[in-house]
Amino acid sequence: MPLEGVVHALERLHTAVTRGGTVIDTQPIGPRPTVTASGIRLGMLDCREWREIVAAFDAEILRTVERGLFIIVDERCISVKDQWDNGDECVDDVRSWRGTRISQTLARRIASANPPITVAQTVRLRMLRAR
Amino acid sequence: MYWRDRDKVEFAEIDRLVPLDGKRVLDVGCGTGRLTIPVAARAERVYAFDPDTDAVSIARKSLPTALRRRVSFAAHGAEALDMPRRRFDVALCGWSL
Repeated sequence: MPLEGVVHALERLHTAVTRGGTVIDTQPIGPRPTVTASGIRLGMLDCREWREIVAAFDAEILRTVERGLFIIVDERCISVKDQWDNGDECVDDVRSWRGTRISQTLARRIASANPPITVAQTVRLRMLRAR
Repeated sequence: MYWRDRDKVEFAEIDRLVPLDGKRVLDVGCGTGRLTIPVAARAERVYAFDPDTDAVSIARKSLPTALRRRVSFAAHGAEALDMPRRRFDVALCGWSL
């Protein structure tokens, strides 16, 4: 979603949900997710650019909070595992993720590792209530 | 083959935060239906949408027959959401940035 469209999208959601209704937003927020293959650690992705995108998105959410559309009622983090049964597919997918970098060294390790390949992500769940 | 959140940890946590039984749910940025299917199994009704037409098509095909009457799919972004006021109890935005 383009950043400039976030507030408008949240306004649409605010209209669509009941007063007191809930919006759950989940985002991966870990700056350096760990990659493992069959339990062996291969390295870390670089998601720092993604973190900046999430921070900009959060600032837009706060604008809707300040305007009185929503209140933040809960926030927590969980660990989520993404998994691939093929190393090349994993490298291709990760390279397509927005704001995510993978070093050549790590890409080679993943491509030659024994699957399953796992990326452990820290995911933030944020619960908003419509006012 | 790729599985996002293969252990379904995220849905379990969402369901703990907001019990979805009987709820009317918006699945914002539904993608290929990762959350749509478990949500539809609990909710009264789901409107699932995503700007990626191919992903919505996969989500639609993945939905078990028994759940099809509860779910409507559409291909558009959140900024194009055009629903009557106060129609839904919960909106889920799962990795939809």
